[in-house]
Amino acid sequence: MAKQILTDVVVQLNGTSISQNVNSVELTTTADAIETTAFGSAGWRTYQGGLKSGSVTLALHNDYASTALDSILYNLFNSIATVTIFPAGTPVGTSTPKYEFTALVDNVAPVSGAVGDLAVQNLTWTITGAVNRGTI
Amino acid sequence: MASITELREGIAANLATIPGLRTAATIPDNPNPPIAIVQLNRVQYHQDFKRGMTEYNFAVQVVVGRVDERSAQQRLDLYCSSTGEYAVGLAIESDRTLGGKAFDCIVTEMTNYGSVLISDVTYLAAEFNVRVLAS
Repeated sequence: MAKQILTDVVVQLNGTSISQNVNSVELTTTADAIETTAFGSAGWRTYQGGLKSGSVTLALHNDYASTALDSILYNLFNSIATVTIFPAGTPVGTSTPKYEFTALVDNVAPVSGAVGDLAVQNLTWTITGAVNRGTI
Repeated sequence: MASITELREGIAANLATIPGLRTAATIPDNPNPPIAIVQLNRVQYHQDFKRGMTEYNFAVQVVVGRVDERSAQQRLDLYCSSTGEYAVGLAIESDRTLGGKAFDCIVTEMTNYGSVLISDVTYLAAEFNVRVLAS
């Protein structure tokens, strides 16, 4: 597929799939822009890449049932979790990659919403270490 | 995974707890009031990845006879109330899993209180919007 509509994204936390409670996911990686401007740069600033970092943002539909999403997240609070995202689903292949990394679960939102709203958790976690893109 | 028919029947079963109110899980040709008719308005797919959740919006039309306009309105008022044994909202939410077929449901609002023409007969009716979350 040249273009793709996201429907079957798989999101795993420590190997457990939470995909069916995930409404949206965003993995962002950035690198520091280290300025290297010097005389002779023809009046233009120049940069090179520095330290890399990332974050993952999840929009989740909460489930308070025993061993369901809420308990999974709350038990991970203030710990490091392995997050694996399969944007094109499984199995992994050259055109169905996976992104794997560890993140600091430094925030959870067990209750969020007004009367009549769907119970949600909108979370952004800081990635600690490398983000690996795998195709096998 | 719930079928639309199962969700309709679940709503109708909850409505059947209201004394004297007939229920129809599908649209009847000739309704016999007072009757609550369950109609599907909208389906929103892919609310979660891997078809984890679908959102269904049903319209429950409650129709009462209009032989005596004053008593018809009084009866419909009872159905529109937020409390009491005739409250449609309370009845639908009496089992929010609709017999175990839905994640949850809520009656969000009542609209379109007024006259309706069905098979050349004028009735008094009100419409209740029901939001159902299911797989």
